[in-house]
Amino acid sequence: MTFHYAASELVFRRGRSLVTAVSIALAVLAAMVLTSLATSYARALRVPIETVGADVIVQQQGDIPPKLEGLVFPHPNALIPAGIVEQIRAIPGVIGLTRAVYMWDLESDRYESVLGIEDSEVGLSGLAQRLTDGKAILATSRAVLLDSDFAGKNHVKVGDTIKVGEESFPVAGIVDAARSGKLVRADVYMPMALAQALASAAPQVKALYPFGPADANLVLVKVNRERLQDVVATVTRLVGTKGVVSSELSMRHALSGVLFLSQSMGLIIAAIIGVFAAAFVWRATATSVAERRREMAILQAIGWSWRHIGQQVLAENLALAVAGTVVGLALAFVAVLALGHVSVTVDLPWDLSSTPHFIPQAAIDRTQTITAPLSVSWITAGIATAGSIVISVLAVLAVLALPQPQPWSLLRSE
Amino acid sequence: MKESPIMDTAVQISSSGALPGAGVAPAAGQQALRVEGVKKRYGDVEILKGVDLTLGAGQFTAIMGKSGSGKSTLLGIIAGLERSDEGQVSVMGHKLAGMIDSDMAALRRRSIGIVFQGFSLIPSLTALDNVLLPTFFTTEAAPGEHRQRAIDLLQQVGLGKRLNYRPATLSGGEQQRVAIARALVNSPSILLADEPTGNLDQETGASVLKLLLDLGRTHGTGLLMVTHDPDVAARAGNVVEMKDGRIIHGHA
Repeated sequence: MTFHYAASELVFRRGRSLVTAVSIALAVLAAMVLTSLATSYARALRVPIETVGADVIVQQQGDIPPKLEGLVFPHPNALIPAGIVEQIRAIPGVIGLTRAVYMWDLESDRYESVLGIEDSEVGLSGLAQRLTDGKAILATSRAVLLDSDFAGKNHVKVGDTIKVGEESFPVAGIVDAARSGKLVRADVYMPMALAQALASAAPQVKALYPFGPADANLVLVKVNRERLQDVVATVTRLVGTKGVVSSELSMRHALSGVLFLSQSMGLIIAAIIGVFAAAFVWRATATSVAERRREMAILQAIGWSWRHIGQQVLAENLALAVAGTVVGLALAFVAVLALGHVSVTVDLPWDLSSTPHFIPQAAIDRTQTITAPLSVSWITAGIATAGSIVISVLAVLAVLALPQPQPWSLLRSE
Repeated sequence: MKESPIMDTAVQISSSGALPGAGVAPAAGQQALRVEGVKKRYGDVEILKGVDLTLGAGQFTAIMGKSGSGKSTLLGIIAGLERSDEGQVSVMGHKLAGMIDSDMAALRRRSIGIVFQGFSLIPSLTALDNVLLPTFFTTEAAPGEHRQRAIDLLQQVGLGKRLNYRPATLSGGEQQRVAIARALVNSPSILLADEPTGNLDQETGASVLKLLLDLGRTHGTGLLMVTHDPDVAARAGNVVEMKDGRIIHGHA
């Protein structure tokens, strides 16, 4: 019966009911869409890192070789000594570590990127799963794999040989690394030991670094995500000022210009909207109670206690909260569906491009446009629902706690 | 001071009787209300200076007096909507002093019906829902019984065909009839009326008064009415006059 009375009252004061419900709906909508954007944005930040197949990418900035010929280390891929690599491997929170050597092979009429990598999910085993032709290579093989785009462009096929540095290697297979992701992109893939041997013998590498057969210039680290921050801090300290430690955290830092979309900022904005909605609901409740003082006095006179009246106002506010929340959630679903995805162009903080710096399109290669689908978070929906109900209840408690006039003073004839 | 039975018997009403287990109607002659030495002060002004009053079952007492004499304040204290500073009010033997809000509300629900001067219906509810309001939190009868009782009462006040009308669509007299039905829905022991015809024209006022008296008599309810109107008071079995917070005159 209380709900029957509440429904009658809300319909009778339909203007105010509508405004209150709409304000709740808008708050829920804003909270849902903002957190959805923030969540998708946070997801997008991880995409470039995940594309490489690691949580943390460790590089070291180096110097420009005296001559741009033969095998050279790209500027951000200087020597990472074996000792440093082992210290990284021992950091608590590091789940796995893959060493690699990343080089450019520069000839007068062509260039190619070469990646020597260990056997792991993001290394030779990962490549084996992306074979489109030929066979996989092992850590001990003296053969290479080619990226399908590179092989197609240069008309190289399985069984041919390809020259890397001063040596020729048979092409064991073709891989489609670019489209399947989770791997560092290169034109030529080879076992780590071969790349280490080539690099340590390369004149332009030797001119800059004391690169030994056990060293690397790129380290891919898998990390327990809960300890990501600690691991990144420790690695950064180990590699020093010239180190480049790329992770989801550095991506977020690099994108601080659009920080307003980050998860925490989204939550802050949603909280501010929630506070405004709470203030509005409180105000609407206070006005409604003030306008109905005589009505409430009548209810007291006919045997309702103040607690009963509180229940009545609460029922009305809860009905508005539920209606507003349902509408807000429905609008949020529609809005998220309409928006579809977030699109973010990221300036990659590392250089694993298969195009050397001095080639014009290198600038293009160093950015990545990421799209991440928007989706409604059920947790946020639950929080928004609980929030609007709590706001409604608190508004009633706050308003009814205010001093009320004596009922008889509103009812007496003189 | 002596009470007399409600005198007007012009309208014969077929009452459905008191709701089983609802407000316990006092036996004829039994004291439904007792007011002893009630004093009330607002700031420096003493409104009631020691009022004594009794009301028997099925009796009609009118309270007269000039504005500011304290009669409405007295009614508010009897209804438990105001607290007296001194003295005691007992309704069906229940002393109001010291009663907590919820107990006071329960006593009003069960034992006290109130009719106001101004139109006092809830504008969002129909006539039937307005009459049902005092039954929301009573458990003495099933909701269906309450509903039937409310319909019977509305039929008795001549609004059987306007059960689902909202107050705004009813005339002033009709609204006051709904208020009377609401005051009686829980079969109270006493009915307090504060200038119930004050806002009505003479003809409508007479009709409403007649209805109030008839229903009060039929239901065995003691009626205590504040009025300025000597014609209304003339219908009462007992008239008391108040002046400066005291009952200065009472006669049958």
